[in-house]
Amino acid sequence: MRVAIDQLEFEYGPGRFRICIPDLQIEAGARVAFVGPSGSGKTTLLRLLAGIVTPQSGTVTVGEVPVNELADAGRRAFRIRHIGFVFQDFRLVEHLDVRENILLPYRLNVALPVFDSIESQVKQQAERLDLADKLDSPVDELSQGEQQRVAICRALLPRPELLLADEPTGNLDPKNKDRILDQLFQQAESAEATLLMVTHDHALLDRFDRVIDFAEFQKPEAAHE
Amino acid sequence: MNSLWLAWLYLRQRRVAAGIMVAGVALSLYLPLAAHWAADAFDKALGARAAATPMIVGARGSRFDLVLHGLYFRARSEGTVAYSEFAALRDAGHGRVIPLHVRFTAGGQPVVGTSLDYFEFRKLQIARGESMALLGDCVLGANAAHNLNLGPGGNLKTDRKNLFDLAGDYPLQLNVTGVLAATGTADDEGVFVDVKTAWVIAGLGHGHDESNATNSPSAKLVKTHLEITPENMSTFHFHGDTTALPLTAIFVEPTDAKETAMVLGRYQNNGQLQALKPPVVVDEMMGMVMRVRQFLDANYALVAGATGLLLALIVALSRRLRAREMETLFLLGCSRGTQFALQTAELLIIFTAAIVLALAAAWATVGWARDYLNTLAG
Repeated sequence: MRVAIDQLEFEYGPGRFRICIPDLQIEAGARVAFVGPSGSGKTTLLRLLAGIVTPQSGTVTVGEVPVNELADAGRRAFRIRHIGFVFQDFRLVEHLDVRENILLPYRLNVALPVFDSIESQVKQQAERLDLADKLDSPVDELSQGEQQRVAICRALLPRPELLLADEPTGNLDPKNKDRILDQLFQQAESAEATLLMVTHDHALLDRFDRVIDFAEFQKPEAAHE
Repeated sequence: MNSLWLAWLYLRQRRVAAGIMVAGVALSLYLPLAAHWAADAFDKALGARAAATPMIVGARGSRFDLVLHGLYFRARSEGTVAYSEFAALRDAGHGRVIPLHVRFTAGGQPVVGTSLDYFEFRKLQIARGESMALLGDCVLGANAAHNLNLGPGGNLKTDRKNLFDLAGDYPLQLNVTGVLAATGTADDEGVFVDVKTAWVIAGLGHGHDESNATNSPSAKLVKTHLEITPENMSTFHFHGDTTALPLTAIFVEPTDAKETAMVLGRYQNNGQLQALKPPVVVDEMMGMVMRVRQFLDANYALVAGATGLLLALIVALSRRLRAREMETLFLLGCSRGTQFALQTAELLIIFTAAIVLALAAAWATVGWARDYLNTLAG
């Protein structure tokens, strides 16, 4: 799924954080890393692409859809159907076990009906990410690496065409970092998804097709994120 | 369904907090429910027994006291009715007339001095053994037999009213001849004896060897029998005017409205005695109970309001504590409406569980209370 940004301007409020992207084109299936100093707008861009926030001006097009022109419900439905989001802090729900955390988007959204084979897909996805024996475990009993794999599993289960990952390895030790990244790339490839990942780890950049430095998008008045 | 499922998973994980909320809500529902049901059961129990008792005659004084005495054998400290009054009523042909003498207990159960007509009047059936026939015989109500662990052939002693009164009434041994079938009324608690036996218990009649009496310089030194047996039964006798022997009440079952009016008229201007219609008195009594219930209802409404406010506070605090969780749900595509549905489902589960718990507890309580209210003895 291709991504196109045209004349985008966004700010959280007058005098607060501001990001301007005149033009950005990302081809479908690309592996792109977003780098740049903290507060440069990397996470905000992921949120703009996911339709979680909307710009004050400009256009954000994902696939053929101008996401920012959709109403709230439309943006949410688009996000659910087409976009997977992996958060830096995992965003797992404590009172649910691994299985229910993976299934959570299906429980919450009627746009993702729980079909008969969903359970077997959860198992397959969990096996791919070495979580098969953890499906019934409470998430707070998992290691950080395992928790991030659960978050990835949850993001990939609906087979998104665009996978957004916000520093998915930021909280992990080097061993887990490589493992998670391998699995993320594998899963994105098998799903033929476009992968956009925010990272501060320059050692990882060789693995991406393209690296976008957000320093070029910063305006002089930009504040911190 | 997904909202309910997720709400259930949330509450299951926080079962202690959820349990406390369920218990709190259940308690605030239980109190008014149980009070209402118990009052209704009390109304029915009292009303049914009163309806089966057309009229009661007794000494003037508290009307409630006299009716409760007649219906539930509760001890009455006020005056008595002379046996001659019973005889006069009986001879006047107003209808069935039954004597009642309740002053003593045996094993903690009320000793009910009456006649065999009482069993017919209350439609009481002998379940085991046979009816009382001789002085000193007694028939036990079902609960009394159970509480005293006695049956036909057994015996029990009456309780002394005052252990330190050496000249007072002495315990009399009663012979159990039968046990009544359970009725779920105050009759289940009674130890039924003939009214003459009740007088003997009261010390108004006694039995002793004639030789002993003749030789004794003082009647108080005469050794009286503490048990009535076939051998000593003939020695029992009453001194003085037997028509003046006391009853504590008289049941009257007039044959028709005219006889009812005549009995009421008979005591209208009587300074010593009164005739009452128990159903009317019980209605008046229940009117007072209902007024108390209205006061309690107002209190329950306040408690329910306070509970509601506390719940609202808990929900508001919970929303703040769960702000991150709710944000996660939003990021995963959950609409505000679904978030509201989730929290509503949690409250729905809590309230459903609380209502079921409150209903079950109130039902159990009233089940227990109904048995108690049906007897009200003691």
